[in-house]
Amino acid sequence: MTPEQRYLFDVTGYLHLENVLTGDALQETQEAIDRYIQTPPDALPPGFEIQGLHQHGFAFDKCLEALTLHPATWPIIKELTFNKPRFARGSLKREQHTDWEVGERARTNPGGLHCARDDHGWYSTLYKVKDGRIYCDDFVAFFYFTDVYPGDGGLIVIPGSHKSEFQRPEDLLTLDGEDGIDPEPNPVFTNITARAGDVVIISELLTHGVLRWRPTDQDRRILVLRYKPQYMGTHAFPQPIIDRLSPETLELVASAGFQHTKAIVKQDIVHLS
Amino acid sequence: MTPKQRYLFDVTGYLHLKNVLSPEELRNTQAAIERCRQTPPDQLPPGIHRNGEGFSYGFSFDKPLEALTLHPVTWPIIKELTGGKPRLNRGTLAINTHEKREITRLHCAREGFGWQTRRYEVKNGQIFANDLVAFFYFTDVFPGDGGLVVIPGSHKSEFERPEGLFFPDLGNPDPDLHPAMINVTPRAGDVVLISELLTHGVLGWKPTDRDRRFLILRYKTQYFQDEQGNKNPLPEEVLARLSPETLELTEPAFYTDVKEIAKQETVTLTID
Repeated sequence: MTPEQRYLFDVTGYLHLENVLTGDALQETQEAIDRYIQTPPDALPPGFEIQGLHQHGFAFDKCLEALTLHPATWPIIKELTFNKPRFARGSLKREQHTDWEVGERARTNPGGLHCARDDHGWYSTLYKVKDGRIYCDDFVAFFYFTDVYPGDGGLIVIPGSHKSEFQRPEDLLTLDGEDGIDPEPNPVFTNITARAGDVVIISELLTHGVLRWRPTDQDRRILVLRYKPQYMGTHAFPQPIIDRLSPETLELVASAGFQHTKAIVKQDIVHLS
Repeated sequence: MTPKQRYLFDVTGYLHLKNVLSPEELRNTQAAIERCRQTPPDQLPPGIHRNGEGFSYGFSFDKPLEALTLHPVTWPIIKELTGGKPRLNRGTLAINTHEKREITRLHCAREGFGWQTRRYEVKNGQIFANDLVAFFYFTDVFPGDGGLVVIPGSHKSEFERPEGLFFPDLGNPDPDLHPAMINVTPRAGDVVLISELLTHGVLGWKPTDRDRRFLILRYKTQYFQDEQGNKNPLPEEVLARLSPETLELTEPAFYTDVKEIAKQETVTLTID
């Protein structure tokens, strides 16, 4: 990680990496994402299914699988896991303006704020700085395949909340009474407006949520790649998904002991076989 | 402090308290500031000096301003953050105009004096901070005007701020704001309370028909010591006109001492 990345991730709890994918590489992934979305559920390859998210989207095509070890994110993933990374899950998320029915209202928690601390307890997840490096045992990389502009909706975060010492008050945000779904604007949260090809990395301790997707002519398409240390838990990928993966991704997915160093970790850039 | 105030101050490093001053308090303080502004430098009360865009010890110009040091809205917060051991260190009146267009560069106590000099901690459900600033606003700030910028969360930063990350060109009076930065836009009567560990700076003031008037009240723990040691940092001529309650607030004291004013929920100034 660069000093700028360390400072920003430490202070805010997230990193917005711009133009990670560009040109043909971006187009190739966008086409693969579109193929998954356009494929009828009963025609999907074994192991894939749509349950809220397009499950295991990272494995749908090799160009998507390669993102798990992308040269721009790989050094960050290695540093945050203290060189003991494990890839835990990778689904495709598609949001449309039709996700909310006309007249539907959010009953509680406008913006759907949540984080690992809220969901699993403060003791469940660790963020720590030692010897000039950040350690983080639960984080997510969002790869964007469509543009998000101010006013569109999408990801919101509360910068600094990854270090919060207090429970988030339930009334922190106020529901916009007229809108009925989103919270009223509040300087405590930031709406991250990433463009296609950008990546947003967040600690799962960062309180985050989503504003309703407003554009009617475009959806929001992101790949949600989740990482943990290799010694925390094991994957739950179905065998047909495992069977599709390259050896390097398989090693990334594998659980391993505290002392073990994966061969891929010794590489600055990993190419899928 | 309310649970919401604790959460916000802990996560962001600052609190924006709205409508702290009643209409009467606002009127009286605005009038006092205007009188201070119009007073010829050689006729200012002893100890108050015009210093660039500020009036040193301007809080002592008039009782309505002095009373803000113990305002009922900020007082419980000051007490909680200092663990019930507060000391007023300084109180400057500032008036920014469009004539000064340059940026006040980002800074914080960590960068200015070293990480070891200031503390921010949470224990037993309470926040402790040994260096705080309360900005009382007497004029409105709107988005685009300029004024205070902060980097939320930076009060807990574990790393040095990379040079040039936020303002690569300090000579540019109108820079784009980095997404990690917030321009705080209080209205007259609001208060912004920050930890001095929070990285902050000031954008040049753009409006030509309005200025930015605010009081900068600095609080530390009563036992905080710098190179001046265990000594009241306010000049004698300023101390001489303060009410007994404010005097007690300015006094250094031992770790275990509890000031009389700290036992009170609301402190009213005794005025001769």
